[in-house]
Parts: sequence; structure tokens; C-alpha cells
Amino acid sequence: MNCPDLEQLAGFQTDAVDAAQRRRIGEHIAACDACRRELAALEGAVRSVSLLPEPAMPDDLWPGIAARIAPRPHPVAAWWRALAGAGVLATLLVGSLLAFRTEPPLPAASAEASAYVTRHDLLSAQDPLADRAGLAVRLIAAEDRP
Amino acid sequence: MKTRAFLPLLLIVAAVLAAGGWQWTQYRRVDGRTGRQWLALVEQAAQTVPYRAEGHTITDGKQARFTVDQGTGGRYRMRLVDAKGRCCSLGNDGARTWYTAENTAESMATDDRLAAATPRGRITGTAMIAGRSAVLLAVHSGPLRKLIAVDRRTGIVLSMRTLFRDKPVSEMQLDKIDYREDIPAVKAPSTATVLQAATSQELAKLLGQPVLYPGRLPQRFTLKGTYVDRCSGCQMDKAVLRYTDGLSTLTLFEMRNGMMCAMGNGCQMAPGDNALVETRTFGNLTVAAVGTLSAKELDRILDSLK
Repeated sequence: MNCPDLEQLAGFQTDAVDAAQRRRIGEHIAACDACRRELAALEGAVRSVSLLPEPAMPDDLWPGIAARIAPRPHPVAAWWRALAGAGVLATLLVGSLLAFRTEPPLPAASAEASAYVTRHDLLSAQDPLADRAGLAVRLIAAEDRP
Repeated sequence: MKTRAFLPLLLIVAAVLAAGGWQWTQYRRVDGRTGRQWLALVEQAAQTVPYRAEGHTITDGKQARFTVDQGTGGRYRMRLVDAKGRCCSLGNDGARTWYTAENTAESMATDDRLAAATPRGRITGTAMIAGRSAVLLAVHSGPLRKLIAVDRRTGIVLSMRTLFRDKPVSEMQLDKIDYREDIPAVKAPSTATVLQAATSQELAKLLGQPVLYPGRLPQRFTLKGTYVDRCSGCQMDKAVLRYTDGLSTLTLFEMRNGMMCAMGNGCQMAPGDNALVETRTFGNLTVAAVGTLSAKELDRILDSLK
């Protein structure tokens, strides 16, 4: 076997190679001084890195990441929601206007009020567009009132 | 982007078309007359064209049949019988309008000192009514709307449908009409006269203060007559002012000492579907306003009395 490259040595050192490859590399290292030195240097470098202090995470790191990876509303969906809201508001507005336009029901007539209307109708009987037949029917009906 | 650029232009074209359509309905002509000219003819024919006719009506859901003799000068006599066989006679002899029913007979002076207003109307089509060719007109004023058919040769109203606040109130139609000169003279029976024409000075005298006139009236409303009304119950005289725009009508009853006992101040009533009543007190004067107007309009008129 030729000398393993640095990647194969690192795999051997971290146990990231399969059993057959590990066996071949191990047999080669046992017989090769240069590879043993290389492996020793690699182990020394790994030990040096492990001795370095672990860097502290800044407090504002995660909120920034979280804000960036949070699910955002779809722009089209937002537009539809705004439109639906405007529709509901417009319906309420138009409904309110129509409700205010409708005149409330009035109380029933008294005989006195009916007498005024009869006078009013008779005064109007000479108008060219007066409905005299309708007036006559009402005059008969007025006799039924107490 | 292109649609947005054309939108103002489309709106302008739509507005022009709408305005043109409205103008067309206002100035549409039949036999060379516009709707307003037909209504002026109706007013003239009611005074000058004699005829005898039979017809039927449905008013406030009640059916009745009638005959009418129409003379000249506004004279007429109508006899009407309802579905229960009850009769009513209504007429005018040129000076007084009267009516007689089973238990009531009253008359009132006809005050023609002031000219009537001609309402606005538009032509909606033509039809055959009572065997006569008719022009159809739609006339409206405030909440009152009438759809009438007018004889194209004489100007006589052959049918009339009345709606108040978009609710059908009455329908009248002539089934047969005979234009003739020999209509017998109409004479009012001697009945109690409940309304007599009076000047504003006479009215002020009976009220003990100047008559209150509305400072604000609906468009085209004019004063048509002033009367004194003697109530057969309380014997209190009332001043009566009558206004019209040729279609809608308003009558103001003014009397001293708040004698509208049963109604009370500010009371508003709907005696039928053809008119509303509202009352108000001004110092020693009580006023009842009756009209084929909306309650808000009656309110505004009462507010403007001075």
C-alpha cells in the first residue's frame, strides 16, 4: 500500500473510515515512519484545537436568525385579507346607511288624525291628478272608524 | 397598465351615456308632446272635456266600482259602490266640493284663486285603455309616485296607479268612456260646509295672531288656497293652508290653545298609506301638518314655520 493522504489519515484518526480501510492504513502506519510522524502531528494539532476556549455566542445572534427564518405571510394572501376586510367594512357602512334611511314605523291613526287626512284629501280632490275613486273608497272606510 | 390609462375615459363615456339616457327619458315625445306637455294637457282637459265613464278601483285592498259624469269648469259627480254595497257620492259644482256617505255629508269651498303647479313627468310608452289609445306617464314627487295613462286625443286620465313609499296604494281604471256634451249640470247638495275660503287677515283674526307660514317648502310647492275650517266636534276654528306641486300635497291646520287634544305635541301618525300627519305646538298655536310627504320633510316644514 502507498502512503495514505492527509484526508485518509484524518479519517483513520477520527475513526471515520470502514473496517477494511482502517486495517490496511493501520498495517501501513506500523511499517512506515513517515506516516507515523504525520499521524502524530495530526493528533497534536487536534489536541491543540481542543484546548482553545469556546467562543461565546452574542446575545442578539439568535433573534436575528429567528426573524430571518420565520415563516412570512404570502403577499397575495395578505392582499386578499385586506380586500376582505375592506368588503366587510363597506357592507357594514352601506348597511348602516340603509338602516338610517328607513323611516321607523309610525303609531296607528286616531280618529282625529284621520279627520285631518280626510280634509286634506277632499281639498286635493280638484287636482288634475287626484285619485277621486280612491278618495271615495277611503271616505266609506272612514265611516267604520269609531 | 393600459386598462388603467383607459379607465378615466371609460368613466367619462359612461357618464355621458347615462346623462344622454336621462335626457332622452325627459324629452321623449309622443304625438309631438313631452311628458310635461302631456301633463299640462291633462290639467286643461280636466276643466274643458265633458264625458261619462264607468270604472273600477282597488284602494287600500278594497274593491269598488264607480260611474262619473264630468262637466266643464271642473264640475263632476262620481258615484261609487264598494264590495259590501256601501255608497259614496263625490262631486264639485264649480264652487264647492262635497261628499255624501251613509252617515256623513260635508262640503267645502273650492278655492281656485291661485294657479296649480304642473308636475314633472316622463313618457314610459303607449297602450290601449278602455278602447282608447293612451300615452303612459310616470310622475313622482317625494315618496309619492303615479303611473297614469292619458287619452292621446283628449288628455283625460284613463287609468292611474298610485304608490306611496314604493308601496302600491290604489289602482283606478276606466272601463268605458263616452265623450259627450250633454252632461247634466251638477248641483252640490245642501250639506254642512266645513271649509270656507278665507283671506290671511281673516285667518289671523280667528287665530288671534298672524298665521304661521312655512319658511321652507319642498321644491316647486306653491300655496294653492287658504281656508277656515270649523270643527263640528270642538267648534274651534282652524286656519287651513293648502300647498301642492301638482302631485304631492300638503295641508297645514293651525289652531289656538293646543286643541289637538287626542294627538298631543310632536305626535306623528300614519292614518293610511296615502299621507302622514305630524303636529307641533308654537306658543299658543298648535299646527298639524298633513301631506303626501316623508316624515322628515314634514318635520323640516314644521321647523321652518314663522
